[in-house]
Amino acid sequence: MSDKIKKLKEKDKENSYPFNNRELSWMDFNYRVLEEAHEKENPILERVKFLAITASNLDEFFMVRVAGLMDQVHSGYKKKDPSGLTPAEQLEKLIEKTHIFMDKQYSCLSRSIIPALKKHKLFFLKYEDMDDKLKEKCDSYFDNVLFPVLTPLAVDTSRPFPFLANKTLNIAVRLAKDSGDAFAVVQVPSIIPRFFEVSSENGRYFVMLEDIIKNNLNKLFQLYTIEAYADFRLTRDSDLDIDEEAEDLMVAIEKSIKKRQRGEPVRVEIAQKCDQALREFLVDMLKVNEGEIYEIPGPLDLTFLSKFGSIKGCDDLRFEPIKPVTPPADFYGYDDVFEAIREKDRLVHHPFESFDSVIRFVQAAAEDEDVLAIKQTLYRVSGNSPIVAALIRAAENGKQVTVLVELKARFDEENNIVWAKKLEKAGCHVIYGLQGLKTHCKILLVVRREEDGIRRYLHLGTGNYNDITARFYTDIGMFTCRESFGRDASSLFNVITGYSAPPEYLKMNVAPLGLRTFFESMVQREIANAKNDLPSGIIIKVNSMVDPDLISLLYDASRAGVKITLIVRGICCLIPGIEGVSENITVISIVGQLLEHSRIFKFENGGEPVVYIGSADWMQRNLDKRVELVFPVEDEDLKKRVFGMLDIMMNDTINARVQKSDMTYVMIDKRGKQPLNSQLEFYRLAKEALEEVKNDRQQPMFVPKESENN
Amino acid sequence: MNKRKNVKENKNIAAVITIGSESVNMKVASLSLGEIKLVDTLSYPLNLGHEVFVTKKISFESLKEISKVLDGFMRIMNEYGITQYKAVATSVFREATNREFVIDQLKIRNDINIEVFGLDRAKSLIFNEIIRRSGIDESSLANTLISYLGTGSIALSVYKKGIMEYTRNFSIGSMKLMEILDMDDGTLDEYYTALDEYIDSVLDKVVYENVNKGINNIVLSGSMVRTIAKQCGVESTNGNYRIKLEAIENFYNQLRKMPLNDMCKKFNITAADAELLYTASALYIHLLKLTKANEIVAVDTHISDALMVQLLLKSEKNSYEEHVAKNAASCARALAKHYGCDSKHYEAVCKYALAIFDKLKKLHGLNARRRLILELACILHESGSFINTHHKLLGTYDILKNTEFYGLTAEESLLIATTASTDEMHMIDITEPFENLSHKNSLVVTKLCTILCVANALDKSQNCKFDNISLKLKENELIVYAETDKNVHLEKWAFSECTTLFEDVFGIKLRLVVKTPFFK
Repeated sequence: MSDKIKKLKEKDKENSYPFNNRELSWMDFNYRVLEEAHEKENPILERVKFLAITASNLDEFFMVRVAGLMDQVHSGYKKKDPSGLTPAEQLEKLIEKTHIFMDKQYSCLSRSIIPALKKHKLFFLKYEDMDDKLKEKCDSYFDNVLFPVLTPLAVDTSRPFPFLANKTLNIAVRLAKDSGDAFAVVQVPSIIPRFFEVSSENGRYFVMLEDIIKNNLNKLFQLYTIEAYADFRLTRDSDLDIDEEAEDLMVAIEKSIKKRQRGEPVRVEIAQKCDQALREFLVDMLKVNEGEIYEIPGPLDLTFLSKFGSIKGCDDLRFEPIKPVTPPADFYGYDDVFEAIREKDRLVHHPFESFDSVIRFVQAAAEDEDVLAIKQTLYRVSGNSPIVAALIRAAENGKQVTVLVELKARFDEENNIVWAKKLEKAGCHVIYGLQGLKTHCKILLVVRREEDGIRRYLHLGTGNYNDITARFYTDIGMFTCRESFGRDASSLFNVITGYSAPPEYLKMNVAPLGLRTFFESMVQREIANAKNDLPSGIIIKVNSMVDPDLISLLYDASRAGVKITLIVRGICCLIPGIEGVSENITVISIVGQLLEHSRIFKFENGGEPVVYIGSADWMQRNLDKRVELVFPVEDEDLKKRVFGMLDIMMNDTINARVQKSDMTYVMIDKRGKQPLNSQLEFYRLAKEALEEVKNDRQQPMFVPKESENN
Repeated sequence: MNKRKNVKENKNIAAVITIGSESVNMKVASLSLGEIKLVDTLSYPLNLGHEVFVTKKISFESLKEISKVLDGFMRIMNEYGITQYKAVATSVFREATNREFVIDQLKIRNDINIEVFGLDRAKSLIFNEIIRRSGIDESSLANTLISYLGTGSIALSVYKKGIMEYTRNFSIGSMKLMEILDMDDGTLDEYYTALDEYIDSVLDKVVYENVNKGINNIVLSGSMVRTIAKQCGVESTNGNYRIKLEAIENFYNQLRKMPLNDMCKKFNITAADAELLYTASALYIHLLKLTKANEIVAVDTHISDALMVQLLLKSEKNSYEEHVAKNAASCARALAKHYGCDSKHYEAVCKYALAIFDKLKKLHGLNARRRLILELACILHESGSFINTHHKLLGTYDILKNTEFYGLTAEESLLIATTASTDEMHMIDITEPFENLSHKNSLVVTKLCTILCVANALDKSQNCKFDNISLKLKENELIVYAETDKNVHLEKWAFSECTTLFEDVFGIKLRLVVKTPFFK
């Protein structure tokens, strides 16, 4: 037994079950993404993108989670988390871990990725590597494009240290003056591409923007001697503090967004080997302590690699794109989407099957003269959303349109405010969110008047109504017009719009009232079945597994003999494989080309398995502080399909890692197993399903034989 | 709100809004293949009962809240394309002294007409719906108590041999009881005992004689039906629950030992529901104790269900009116018996009056409801003698004005009272409207009184001298042909006293032709 587990078991006596720290578990997830950057089997530009993802993940982590911990420490909060750590202890471990992580990021970049790029004739050049011709080109770029845009800001007694926005890249400069040192800051403009392609002869050569600036600083400070310069970058606390009781929530959020840019610094990245005086100057000005400083070999802010990974002309260096199957097999041959849904429930698996099916559903509803009303929740919406355009069109066509736009969707607040205003202007009834709760459920309801009365068509899913993210997040959506679901959907919207108290739902399970109890009762039932020698088993696929009470219940289930498989993409606070606690629990994580996002819950149910899908992860915030929706898949064909999805994921040997009892993750042991990339397999199945349906529908033509005289 | 363009009227969908003691509710239902299908239900919690049952008023804050909720409901109705709806308020508005102001404000703010249902009207709708849903044949109901237990009041009716013979209302609904007996005073046991005794005091005195003897069946509906049934372990069969006496007694005894918090935890209900649960269960037990029934048939229905049927199933509307007419008359007859009225006399008066009413339909323009009022007035026009033989008509007026007629409103009770309290000796003056009646109602009552006077005159001696009458309506006169071999001088005189009034009211002459058997 590892020391780690021994310590956890000791803590077990205090907390009654072993529990991994959430933040540290998240770091482990980011490590798994970093492993994909290392993975030589992945095309090089995909590796580059994975590295970019680790950087943007880390940015957000600092802005929200680390910032939150710092707040707790500063306010003297000492309560231990379920893993037994105080905020100060967590912060200490995190700082240590993130320093190591960032070292590994840059090690990956310099030792693995850059050499690999070179093999494909993609080069990043420093000024000292360039010949005069190239230097001249860069300098000319500076003179013509950068110089007009740059605003160097001097810092002295009359000019205080400038306010630096969150995540901006800057260059600190130490200048020699008669009276001593002077300092200045030059912001690297984010509006200009971070890398400049300086040559494409015998390969492609790129120079970083900040290098061009640094090598032309003399043009910005003509009256001074430049003594030293260094890149640095600031990450600020970005969690909004919103007054939810304000009369106008939108105004309150707009105010908070402005404050976000002024959050306290939580991390400063500084170029390694930074001049000491410059370093001290920055520490003094930014008022940070040593633990918050990260010395980087460079370049700072690896998120630029995301764009780099998409440079034109290098398709062979990326994954073969997954072109969503259009239409999905379930909708093939139907011009009328309502007819298709009336016939039976339909399931679409994104991005393997096109999100267009959802867009077309809303568009059809907007134009159909028998549609009376459309109601929808929007959490994260794309910039030029066709869904929103369809809703606006529906309102213009006289439909009653009700939209809940969750203004508190973190980092999408401004975007959502824009949409909320547009929808209101078009005549939609817009709700900005519920006080004290975030509406995270994904539901679209269309009320239609038909010959035999009112019929309600629904789309329910695990993913946001975002046509952009639908191309690289895996999600599942179900279309249905079952009466019981329609009743529940209407009831849910009545609750969301504040017209009714929550009812007893017929089919749906809705947080914050009832979803936790539902999950508890389902697990309890498996425990009871196991004790009574009835078939039992649980398979759960979520993005995060954090809730202590449900984890404790899963441990109870394991002790009772229930076999449990957890497919958890990111944070997993449950520790599998501990004797006497979780030996019947397997935890796997799939990190691949696409971001796993769907949530699926299967319960063996004594031999008649049932499956649910929905919007909720197993975190306290989902179960207690959000409006979430989990619903059963009742159509037998669709049930089988979802069971099949779980089987495929559990047999993934390419992108799946299994968690050991010491909380580390290892790749699945491939020996004796068919290589299987679950994401590519889903894509193959989606294409195959469409072909099958097409073939089934092709009617043989009867060719009449006629007389030649006719 | 998006104004819908070109809304097509859809008669197959309707909404019913009810403003109750604990919530404002809306039900939306559609008619599909002849059956009513529930489409949507909304329940906005608003504890009006507390403030009204204690202060007798609806506060301005509550008014604003109701208005906001109704706004939302109208929006939802628009979403379903609903053009037909009914908005009603029950006991909580009945008891609010400022209800007219509140109704007026809701009309102005929301453009909604709220109808306040009298208890009898509400009761009759619910009872009709209970019978319809339970599938029971009304004419076969024997020794059955049917009851509605609301939050503000309870209503009872008793059927014997297929006929409703007794009906009563009591202002002791589950919430009202809670408000009357303040839960904070005294211990738990003291409170429960006080509650039991209070219910006994209200129910037993009036109910005992009429209800308990030989009642074997109880059919009821009302607040907490589903919760009580669930806690008694009873599953619904087509919306009906059969709950054994023993099960309710056990449940009730459990509740008696439980503080509120424990009730909430054990039954997974809110504190408000827990308070109602005890009072509702207490009422169930008391009803059972009044009878010999060993089970309750509980029907999960509400006034909104009854109104929905009226809106969507037009045929049921007629059926409901028939139900009211039949049972109002049967209860009136039971009441007449209680007041010592001569049944032969009033049946004769009734027969004559209704025959005249039917004959003169084109002249009086009154509907079936008015016919019922006439019928009830005929049945009970002698009831005043029970309390005052000297001023019989005044007695009749006072009794009938305060009588709860099954399925009729308080206004209609007043019409019955006014109609019944005239005779040929105390003619109405058609130039002067009746006290306490609107001009429109005065006209109605004038017509009905006139008919009643004529009918009464035909049996002035109360000896039912005429075997039959027949009527002939000519252009300028109504001829009443009556056949008898008895001396009808009194009847002829009384009849002649009515002719001037009759001519003034209906614009045609009135003539009596008496045939004797010798002159066939």
